Amino acid sequence: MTERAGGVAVQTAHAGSGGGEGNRRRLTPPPRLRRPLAFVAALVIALAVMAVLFAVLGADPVKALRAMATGAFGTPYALNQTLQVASVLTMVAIAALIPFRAGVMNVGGEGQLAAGATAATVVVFTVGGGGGGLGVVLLAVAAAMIGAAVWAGLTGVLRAALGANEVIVGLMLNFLGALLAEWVIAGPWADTLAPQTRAFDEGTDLPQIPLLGGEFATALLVALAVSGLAWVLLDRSRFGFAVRVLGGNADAGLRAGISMRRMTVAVMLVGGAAAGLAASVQVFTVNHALIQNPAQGYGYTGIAVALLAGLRPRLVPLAAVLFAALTVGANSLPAVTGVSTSASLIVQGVFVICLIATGAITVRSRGAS
Amino acid sequence: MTGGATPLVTMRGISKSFGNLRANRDVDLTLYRGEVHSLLGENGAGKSTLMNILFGMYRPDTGRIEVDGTPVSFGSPRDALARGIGMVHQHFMLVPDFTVAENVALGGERRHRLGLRRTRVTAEVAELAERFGMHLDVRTPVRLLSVEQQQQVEILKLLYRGADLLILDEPTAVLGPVEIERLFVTLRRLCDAGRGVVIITHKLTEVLSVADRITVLRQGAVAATARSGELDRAGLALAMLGRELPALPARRPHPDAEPPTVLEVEGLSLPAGRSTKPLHDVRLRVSAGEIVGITGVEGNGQTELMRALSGLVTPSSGTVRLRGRDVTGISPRQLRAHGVGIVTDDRLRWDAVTEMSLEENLALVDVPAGRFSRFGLLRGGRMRVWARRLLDDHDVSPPDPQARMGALSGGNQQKVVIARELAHGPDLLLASHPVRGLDAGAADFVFRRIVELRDRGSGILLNSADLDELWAVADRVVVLNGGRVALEGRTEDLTIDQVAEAMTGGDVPSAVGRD
Ligand SMILES: Nc1ncnc2c1ncn2[C@@H]1O[C@H](COP(=O)(O)OP(=O)(O)OP(=O)(O)O)[C@@H](O)[C@H]1O
Ligand SMILES: [Mg+2]
Repeated sequence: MTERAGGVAVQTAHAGSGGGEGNRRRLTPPPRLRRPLAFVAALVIALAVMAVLFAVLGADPVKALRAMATGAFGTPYALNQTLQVASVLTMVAIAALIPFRAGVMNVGGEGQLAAGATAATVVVFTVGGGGGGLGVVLLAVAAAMIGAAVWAGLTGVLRAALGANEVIVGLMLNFLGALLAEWVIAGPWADTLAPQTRAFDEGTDLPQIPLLGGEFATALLVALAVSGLAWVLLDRSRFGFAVRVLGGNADAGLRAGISMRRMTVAVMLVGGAAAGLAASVQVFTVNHALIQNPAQGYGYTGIAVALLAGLRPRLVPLAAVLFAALTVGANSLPAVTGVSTSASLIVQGVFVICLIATGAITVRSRGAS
Repeated sequence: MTGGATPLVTMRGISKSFGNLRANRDVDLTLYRGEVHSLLGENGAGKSTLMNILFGMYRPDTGRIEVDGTPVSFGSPRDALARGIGMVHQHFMLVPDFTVAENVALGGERRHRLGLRRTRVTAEVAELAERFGMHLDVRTPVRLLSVEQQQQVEILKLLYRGADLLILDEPTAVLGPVEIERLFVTLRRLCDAGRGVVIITHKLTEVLSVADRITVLRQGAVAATARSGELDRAGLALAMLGRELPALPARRPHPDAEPPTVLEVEGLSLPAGRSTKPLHDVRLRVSAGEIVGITGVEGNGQTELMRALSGLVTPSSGTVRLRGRDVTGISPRQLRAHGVGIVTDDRLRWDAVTEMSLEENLALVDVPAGRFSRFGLLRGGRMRVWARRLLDDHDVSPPDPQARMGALSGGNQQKVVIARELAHGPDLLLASHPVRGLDAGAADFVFRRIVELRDRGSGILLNSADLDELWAVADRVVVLNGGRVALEGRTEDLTIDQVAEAMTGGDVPSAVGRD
């Protein structure tokens, strides 16, 4: 009774906290409404804090908030961009979510995105000579998924075999991933001007499905498919059953004959593959080259998105749109108000803190209840 | 004893629903200082819910509570503690690496400058323990303590915070007869010191021996309330169940022919762990059609023996054979494939996933083994049909396959676990305290199922601290003391005194520093 499995689990408030004997909880609003209410509260508080922040920075708060809204949704171009970012965030969030549900903290999204983008780029330049048609692109996508899965699997193996802390290993690999990209950029395919590789040849793109005059419909569809698949995998498959058992009670998993080690590696591989897909979408719809720091912080934002969605795959796209709007909307702040774009980071940070403070998302260490 | 004094606590018209399930209906309860009040009722009758309301964990839908004549409204256990109401849950909340004194002082009202006042706090805690008859070295880390002692620490925590009323939810479920006696001595002293006690238990004998006043709940409402002595066993059972309890079927006379061996254990040893006891050269045998009881004072290796046999820990030496096949150190899932059912002694740790549904908990071992799925996808329909049948058979409430395990009462969770482990008609059942937390009716049902299993030729290893229970069903008894087999024999050839002596080895039992 005083022994506990180690490790850390992420729990979302919607699931109700524990139950059964010995779990203390306070019930003020009915549990069903608690999370949505907390979410609305967080949003309101975050907006208020941002307004104050803008005022302090010398900008008109109303104008600034309106600029953010317009910047995110106001024009077809803005909407397109928001949806594109949301698509990538959705896949990165799924990459974090699947391991989280098994009680394995995947904070290595940044490194996995970098490894995926690098793998895709290497395929384009080696197989396609810097270009190539759909065949090369698809091969590159597969390479990205494998590359990112290997990157994530490394963390899984180190935890499973040596008991290493997956958070620390994940963070280290994030640095290494960025360095890997730098190294490839500095190689034979370097661009002469910018710190990136040469741009891919024309036509090295994902197949296009036009939507709102943009090219991001493909990304959106892929992202929705990924979240749908993740839902089926977690809720309807034998694999997902094992994931949920381990996330709920690792000792009961042992009792049920589920191999914690094998599952730790498996969830990281699956999560990594999703991150790799995200990376290739980013490479082939936005950058068309390998750029410096290809993950751009999406790996971390993805974690926040997964938590906001309550670790439920079906809610991930919605949460992703919200965070994408914050990111994209903040980009138009400098032009309108003179506040720098780094306000975007502050805005996201404020929102995440509000979410945690109101209990809309909760992170607890396993066995703390 | 009460003599018209102001009651310590009055609860009036308390109702509480979960969805459309009415866990408490218009309950009145009055508690006095100096009294042990026993709360009785079937599984799911609403006992824990009522006490959780008093302890501030749930808010009642209707009704009011007074403490010492003043109306109160608790938003959290902290509020309740501030008004002198404390509760010990079955699942302890202790920091394993902290000492007894540190655990007691942790989060207490007088928490400032623990470092400077350590010696004083230690002395205070030791004095409290002494005063209420607990034999504890307050400088021992909690992880080295027996379950009984951990429970004492939980009680000390409340006393240190000045609790006037102590609520104990099934405290005796985890204790053996000797420890139960000692707990009751402590409770008596608490009452003599002017405190009040509420105890929830399913064992009628205990109620009769310790309670001053009794309240029986049935389906959330008060079915009877009486002073001790006004109701006897039969009366209590009648109030609780609405019927009388039939006696268990008699033990089966031993057949003449030597039955085949199901389980054979030889030279099983296990070193002591951080908080586990060692085993030394354990030998035992379970034949087909036989129930073998394992018993001993808590913390003498029973838990470890059952875990080693269940594949949860690998023994350092020795062999385990199942129908002649060596199965030493194989996983619980492989054991299931060989027809072994396992009920561990820590439900919330090993047997249940509270966040998952009843059907998923019922299929917990089957799904990883490949049942209820095709091409890697779950076959929810089949799982549900199967779960419905098991829930009905075992009278689980609510019988809803999609209910969350954690929303069930303790006894109902146990029924789910039992249902799962008996579902495949195991060839060998390794059962630790299988009726822990079950009401008398449900316990009776489980024992009948176990006897039925035996009569069909299965072997059963039954780990239990309740000698009455063992004498009612076991064909043979094995007593463990200090991780060794101290006594072994047919139940009919042994007396309870012999067993008690083998359990304690003639000494006063003490769980600290035995290994
Ligand atoms: N958090 C919850 N959510 C939903 N239902 C609950 C919850 N807690 C208890 N219940 C239901 O309320 C009823 C009463 O439960 P309670 O735990 O009070 O029973 P109990 O008398 O303590 O039973 P036991 O002897 O089995 O411990 C049960 O039917 C249970 O399923
Ligand atoms: Mg209960």
